[in-house]
Amino acid sequence: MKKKIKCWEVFKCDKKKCPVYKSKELKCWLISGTHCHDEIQGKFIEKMEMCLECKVFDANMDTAAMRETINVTNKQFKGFRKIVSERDRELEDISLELSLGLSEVLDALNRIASGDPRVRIPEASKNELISKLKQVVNISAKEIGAIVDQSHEFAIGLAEHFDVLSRVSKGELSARISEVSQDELLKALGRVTNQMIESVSEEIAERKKAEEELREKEQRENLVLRSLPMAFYNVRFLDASSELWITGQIEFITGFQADRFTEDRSFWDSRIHPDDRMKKTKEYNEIYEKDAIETEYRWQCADNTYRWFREQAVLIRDEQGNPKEIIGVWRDITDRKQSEEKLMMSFSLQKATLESTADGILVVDREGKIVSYNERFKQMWRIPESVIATKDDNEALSFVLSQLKKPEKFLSKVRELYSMPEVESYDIIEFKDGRYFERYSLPQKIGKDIVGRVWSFRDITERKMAEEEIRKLNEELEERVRERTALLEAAVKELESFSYSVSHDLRAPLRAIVGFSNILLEDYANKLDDEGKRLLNVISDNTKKMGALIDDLLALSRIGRKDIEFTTVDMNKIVDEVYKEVIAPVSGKDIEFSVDNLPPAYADPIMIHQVFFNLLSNAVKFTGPKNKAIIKVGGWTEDNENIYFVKDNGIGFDMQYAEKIFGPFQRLHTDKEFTGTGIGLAIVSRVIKRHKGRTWAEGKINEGATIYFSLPKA
Amino acid sequence: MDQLKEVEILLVEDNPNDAELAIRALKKHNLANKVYVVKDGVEALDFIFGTGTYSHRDVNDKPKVVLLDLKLPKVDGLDVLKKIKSDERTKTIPVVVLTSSTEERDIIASYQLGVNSYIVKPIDFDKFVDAVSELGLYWLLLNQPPIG
Repeated sequence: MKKKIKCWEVFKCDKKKCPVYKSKELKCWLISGTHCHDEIQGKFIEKMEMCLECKVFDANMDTAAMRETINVTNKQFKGFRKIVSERDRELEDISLELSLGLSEVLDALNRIASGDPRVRIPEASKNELISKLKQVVNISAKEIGAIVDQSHEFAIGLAEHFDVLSRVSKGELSARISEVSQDELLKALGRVTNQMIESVSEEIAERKKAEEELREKEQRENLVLRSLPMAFYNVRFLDASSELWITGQIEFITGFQADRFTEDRSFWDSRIHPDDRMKKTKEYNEIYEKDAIETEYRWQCADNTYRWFREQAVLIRDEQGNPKEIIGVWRDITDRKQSEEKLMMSFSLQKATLESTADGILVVDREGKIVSYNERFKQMWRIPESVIATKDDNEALSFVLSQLKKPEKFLSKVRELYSMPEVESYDIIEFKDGRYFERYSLPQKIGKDIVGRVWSFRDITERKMAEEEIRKLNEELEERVRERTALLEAAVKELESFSYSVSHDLRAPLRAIVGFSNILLEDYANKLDDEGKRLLNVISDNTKKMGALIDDLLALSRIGRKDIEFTTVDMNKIVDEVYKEVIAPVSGKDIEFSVDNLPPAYADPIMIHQVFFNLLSNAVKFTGPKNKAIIKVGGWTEDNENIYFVKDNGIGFDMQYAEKIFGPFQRLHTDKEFTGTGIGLAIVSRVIKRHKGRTWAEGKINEGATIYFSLPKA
Repeated sequence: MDQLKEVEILLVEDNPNDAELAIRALKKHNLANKVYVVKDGVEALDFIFGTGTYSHRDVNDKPKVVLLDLKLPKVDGLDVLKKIKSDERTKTIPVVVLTSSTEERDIIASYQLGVNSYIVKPIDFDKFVDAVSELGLYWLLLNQPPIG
């Protein structure tokens, strides 16, 4: 330190008059290195002003220039003081934001405090900062010039202070403002700085702790975010370019790391599905008009599969309204898209099903609003689009009512069904124009809840017409049947009257022929020769035979007309009865008769009696030439019928006549050989036919015959 | 007309041949002298009830038996039978249906109307003679009619 020059010595003042002279410190701030009395601490400007009052000073200096200098300096110092006071306040708040040159350092500190220990003030920047500070101080000092003697020291003090701050910023928490600093300012600054360093140390410790907690939290959040198929991004617009920042989740949804996108800004768009690229670009650019957009497109992931992404972005503007940044989110919506597609598929299936049916279908909700319908419905009811577009069931209803034959009935039924949502219903609707619809109405349910009603209409006009046609045809048919029946009844009556005539009128002349032939033979026998008598006998015999034929014919006709009285018949019992009537009385003839155990029949017993009577009579008759007659009755059961037979060892017949023998008056033998009219088997055949059975015969000439008949089971 | 009072057999027969044969059969057994023949249903009823051409006849002079053919002109045999059997004065007169009809419905109808016997005329002359003879004998000689 130089030898201090006393101001009054410089100005050759009366030292007793100089206020400096009276002070202990003896510092003068006007000229570097001089002493003038002052307490220095922050009040030197006032002291300097006070010096201007000094007579000595006044006499020797250009007061106006001095005053100007002081003003400038004053401003400078005021600036410094402001900085200091701000620093004080801000350091206390640990908000760590300073204006002017301190800001960079403090910003760095702030970043340290924010948990980024790697941040360093670049060496150049530090030097620059210091030199800048020095420059400011030097400029000040230069301007104050010689007047402010210790401004250098102050500047150096400040520099030291900043140096310490710089070192602190590098993490050198042991740095301290040197004790040697004489200046109260520096002391104060040092104190504050040291406090700051301590608080920064504490802060850093706290931050580190917080950082640990944060990391844990982030890890947890990361886990959560990882499970979300979405990534956020942020674009900041700079003057000529922009900055992109993407959250790490992008890797989970695309398979590419975030760098990939930030390094190559066209990468994102290059992976968009070619078909969707235009659309995306168009939709995305709307953000500058709408401030918010939403777009969906396919995007090719790292595994080359396309996945659906939904991008939503918001534009943020600055105060002037210029775009400042975009915040956006990408979301993988492939699953949603797939279920949407499934839904669409199911919907289209439903629609296709609805449209492919020939029925008209209308679905309404519980409030009567039209939920769905098919084209067929519109066609069938001839409802204009404008009516259906109202979605109002009542509108549609009132439109259709005018077409119906009985609108009140239809309407009341519809209302009834709306009041009973659970009821299923069916009806036929008649139209004024002659059409018929079938109407079905079913509740629509989701689970157990009724949500609406499905109406289904089927045009059954053709069916109705066909039914009507059938009904008419049936009526006609019935009428015809009635007519035919009447004709048939008339024919039957005629036949009856014919057979009555036959039985009555035909027999009378025969009787007369026979009777009068006999009278002739009795009364005029003596007048007739033998030939005359023979001729009369021939007449008589033939007439009798004709009588027999008529009787048989009537018998056959009676069988045809007689009602069958079905009952269960013991066939063995009937055969026994007939045996007693037909075979037992035969004398002078060796007959071996046997009968099997016969299945019972379901038939008219009187008629069956007639059948066995005729068959056994025939058997006896046709075994006549044999020395020993063997007659056997047998039978068995088949699936649906019982079969019976009568077998004899008689004269038999040629099988070529097997069919013929059942015809009425069909005879295979002459009257001389065997008597009979040939009606026996015809009656058998007719009886069995009327029982819905069959008759047939087997035989061989001279070896016997077997007549079979079948009867259906009950 | 006393002769009519003594009629014992009324033969209702439109066929003269049948009538002749019947009379001849009765003659063989000496039953023919009291036979009276009418040719149709109307005549038969007039005779029995003393009406029309027989108004001189008394309904109480009943024949011992009526041999009635069914198929008759004008009034059918069954109607004649019905009238006889439904009238208190005549219902006790034995009526024998003697007919060519073997129809079951005729037989049933006749019995339902109260016929006393139903005989089918055989074509065979001998059998016819036997049948008529037996009839005559039975009803004229063996049968005991109610008094009055």
